[in-house]
Amino acid sequence: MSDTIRNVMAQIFGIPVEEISASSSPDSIAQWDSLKHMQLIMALEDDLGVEFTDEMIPQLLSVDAIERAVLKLTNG
Amino acid sequence: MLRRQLLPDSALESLARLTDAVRAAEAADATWLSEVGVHFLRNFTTEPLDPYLKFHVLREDIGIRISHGGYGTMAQELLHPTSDTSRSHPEVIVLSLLIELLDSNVVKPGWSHETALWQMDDLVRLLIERTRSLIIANTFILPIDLIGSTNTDEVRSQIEELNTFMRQAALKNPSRIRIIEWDVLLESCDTTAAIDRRFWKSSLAPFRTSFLDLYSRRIAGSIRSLKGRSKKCLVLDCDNTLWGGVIGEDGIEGIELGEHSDRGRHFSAFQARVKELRERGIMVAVCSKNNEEDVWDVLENHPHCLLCKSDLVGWCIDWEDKASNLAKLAEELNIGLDSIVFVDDSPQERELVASLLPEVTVLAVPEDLSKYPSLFERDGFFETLAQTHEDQIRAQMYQEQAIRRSHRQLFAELDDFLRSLATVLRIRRIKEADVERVAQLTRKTNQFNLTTRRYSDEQIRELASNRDVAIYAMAVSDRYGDMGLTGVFIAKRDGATAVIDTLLLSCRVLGRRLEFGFVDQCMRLVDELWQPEVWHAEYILTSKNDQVRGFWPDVGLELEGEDNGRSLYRAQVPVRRNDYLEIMTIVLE
Repeated sequence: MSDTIRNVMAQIFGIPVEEISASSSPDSIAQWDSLKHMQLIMALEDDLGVEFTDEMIPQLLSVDAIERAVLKLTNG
Repeated sequence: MLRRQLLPDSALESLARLTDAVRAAEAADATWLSEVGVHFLRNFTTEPLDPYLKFHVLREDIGIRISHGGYGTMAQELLHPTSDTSRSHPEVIVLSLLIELLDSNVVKPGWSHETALWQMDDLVRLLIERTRSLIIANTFILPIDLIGSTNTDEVRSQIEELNTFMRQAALKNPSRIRIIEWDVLLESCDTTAAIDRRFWKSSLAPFRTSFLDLYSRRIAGSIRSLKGRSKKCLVLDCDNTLWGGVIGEDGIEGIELGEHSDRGRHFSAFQARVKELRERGIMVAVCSKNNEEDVWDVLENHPHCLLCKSDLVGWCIDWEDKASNLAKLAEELNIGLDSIVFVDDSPQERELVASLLPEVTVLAVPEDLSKYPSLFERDGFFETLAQTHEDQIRAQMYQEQAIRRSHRQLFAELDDFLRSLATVLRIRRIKEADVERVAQLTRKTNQFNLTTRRYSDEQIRELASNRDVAIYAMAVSDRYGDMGLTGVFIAKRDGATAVIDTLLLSCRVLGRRLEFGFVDQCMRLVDELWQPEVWHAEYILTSKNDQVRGFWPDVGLELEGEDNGRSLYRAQVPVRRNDYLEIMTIVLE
C-alpha cells in the first residue's frame, strides 16, 4: 500500500516517486500546500477506495500517517 | 503522439492519473492550434476544477492558462485598473458563484432575492462594459447546507427569480454571455452525491469530482466554440444507435423506434435531437455495417423514423471497416477528422476508430437509454457562438490543414487492432441446449448466409440426430465480453461427398475474418469424421446476401456451375487458409 500512496503523491505533486519517503511531509515537499492536500486526499480516495473522515484529513501529513488511517478504515 | 492520445477517457477515473496525464499533455512536443486565458471570478474554492478543465481543453490542442481571483472580490477586480483581471484581459471569464456567499441571509426564512439581484445586475454590467471577455456564468443552486433538505420551496422560488435574470442577461447579450445550468449538472451527478461536505467545511470546496468533470466539460464546450473548434459533423451507426435492434435480423417490424416501447421512445427522442442539430447546420452522416436498402427502408418507410435520407450529407453503408470509412467520409466532406463526433453502440467499433483515428471524438450509446437524448449536451460539442471574422478565417485554415489518413496507412494497423481484440472462437458439435439458438440463427440471419435455409427447432433437432449430418456452432468472445453463439455450419454426407448445406454468421461478428477460422476448422472436423473425397458448397443469391458472393472462391473452392441464382462450388482436397490464425484463438469443444 505504501507504494500506491507514494505513487499517488508523485502524480499529484509532480515529483519523482523516489523523492518521497515514509516521512515526507508538507515541510519537506514544497508543492504540498493546502490545495494540493485536498487533491491528494481526493486522489487517494479514488485509488484506495476509502473515504477519510473530517478529523482524519488534516492529520494525513505523511505516507505513514495515511497508511495507518487507511488500515483503520478498512479494519474497522 | 497526439495530445489526445495522452489524455484518454480512462484518466478521468483517477485524479492522480488525471493530474499526471495533464502534465504530460502540457509538456508534449505537439503543436498548439490556439491558446486561451481563463480567469475565475469566484466566491468559493474553484481551483479543484483545474485538472478537469485542462483535460477537456488540451484535448483540442488549445493551450490554456487558468487563474482564480480573490474570494468574493468580483466587482473590485473589475473596477480596479491594476487587478489581474483588468490587466491580463482574459479571453474567458468564468463567473463561478454560490448564493450563500453572495448573500448570507439566504438561509434565513423570508429571504428575498432582491439584494442578490442588484449585485448580479451590477456585476453583469461591469463585465459587459469593462471587459471584452466571453462570460460563462452559472445559474444558482440551493445553499450547499440546504441541499437534500425538505422544505426548501420558498428559497427555491426566490433563487429561480435570480436565475431568470441570469438567463435574460444571456439572451440580451448572446455573443458575450453563456449560462451553465448548475441544477441540471447536479441532477446528472445525483445531487447529494455531487457534494463533499468535508471539503465544503474545511476549504469552501463543495463539489466532488463528478460535478467538477461535468462543469469543466461545459466550460470547455464554450471555449471550443469560441476558438472555432466546435465539431462540424455527427456520424452515426444505425443498429442499436439510431433504433433498437438490428434491421438486417429483426426486420422493419422488429426494430424498436417510436411509442410502443420505452427503448423505442428513447431512440426517437435521440433522433429528434439529431434532427435539431441538422437544422442548426451541423452535418449528419451514417456509417453502418448493413445493406443500404435495409437502412433506407427504415429512414424512408418507418413511421417513427424522424431522420430521412435527405438529412444526410453522406453515408458509408457497407461491410468495410469503419475507420477506413470515416477517413473516406472526412475526405469527401472536406473536413478534418477532428471535426467528427462518432456514435456507436459497439465497443469493438469504438475501439477500432479510437485507436486508428485518434482525432475523432468517439461516443458510446449510454447503458441507461434515458440519458441518450441529452448525449451531446454534456460536452457542448456542437455549441455555436457568434464568431469574429478572425475566428472564422482561422477555422477555415485549420480545415485546410486538417489531418487525413490514407487507407493504406490504416491497413497494417487494422490487423494490429484485430489481434488486440483477443477473439476466442469456441467451436462444438451442437447439443440439445444449442438447438433453439441455432434454429433461430438460421431464421434470422440474412447477410452472411450462403444458402439461407430456414429451419425450425424440430428440424434442427432431427438433423442433429442424423449420423450423416454434422452441425457445428461457433461461440465468440473477446476482450469486451461474450457474444454467444453467432455462427452455424451444417454439413451433410452423401457417399464420399461432403456437402455444406448451411454456413452463416451473425452480423455482430463480421469484419474480423472469423468466418475463415470457422469454416476452416469445421471442414477439418468433418474431414476427421467422414474423410470425404470431394466437398460441395452452394451460394444461393438473395436480396440480402450479396456480400458473400465471393466467399467460396476466397476459401479455395472452384465454381462448377451456375443456374438461376444458385452457384455450385467444389473442391477436391480439403482447403486451407492460415492467415486468420494470428488474430484469433480457436478452441474445439
